[in-house]
Amino acid sequence: MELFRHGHDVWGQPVVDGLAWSLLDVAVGAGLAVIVIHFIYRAVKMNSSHKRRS
Amino acid sequence: MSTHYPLDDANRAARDAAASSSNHSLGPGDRIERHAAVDRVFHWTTALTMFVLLGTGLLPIVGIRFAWVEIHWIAGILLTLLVLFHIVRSLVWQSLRTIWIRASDVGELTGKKAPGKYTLAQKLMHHAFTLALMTAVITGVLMLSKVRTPFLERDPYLFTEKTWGIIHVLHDASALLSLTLVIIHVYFSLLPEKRMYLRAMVKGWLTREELKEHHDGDRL
Repeated sequence: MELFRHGHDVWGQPVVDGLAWSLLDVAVGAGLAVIVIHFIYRAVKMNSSHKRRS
Repeated sequence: MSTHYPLDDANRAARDAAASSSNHSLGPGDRIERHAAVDRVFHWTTALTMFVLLGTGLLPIVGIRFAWVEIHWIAGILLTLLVLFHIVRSLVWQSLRTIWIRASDVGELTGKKAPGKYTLAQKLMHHAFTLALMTAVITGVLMLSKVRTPFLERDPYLFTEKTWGIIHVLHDASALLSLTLVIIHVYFSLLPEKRMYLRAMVKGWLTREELKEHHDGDRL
């Protein structure tokens, strides 16, 4: 996976233009991954505390 | 009745909580101010500005094309002013102790300690947003020199192309980090067990009961 966008300066030398836009998917994926992991953790925790009470 | 419980006056908040537990002169439904009106306006204005910046910055990348540059830099200036306002307000009128991470906060993870005004997770979220927004604002202000604005002479040669590359990488990274943080922040704010914090950010208050159940008045 590319990390950077590349371009050329006025002398034709390669330069970094910024981050690769494919990392947009990584940013969204990281956010969603936190949500899924927390949601599972929360469900397990609620289930175990429900069992302890009953 | 609403008891004043400002973010910036930790001692008063601690005294307030201690007084309520000792004399019970106020009922459990009493409202304790968690966020002053000015801080709530700051929060929601910042949120709106962030959505505008993320939308104008990232939608063109996914193929939704429109004239985004002018909206983006105007919103960026608004965000810069909001960040400056928040820095001044937190340094002059508020207590940094309430948001600063301390070694004792680790006790929250084991459930041995209740959090002070903010939970460890809220503090971490705040620091992550601070990192992202400070980076976005500093690099964004520098990038203003590449845009035609009514108040600045356009000068795209202010830095070498190599330096511009670094500035762009940092600006892009702050945008992507902000996007991840916004997704996580919105998710946690909508959880039923965290709904009281969302209400506090809308209406300003927690009940005394909520404060006693979830926070430690002595650590405020």
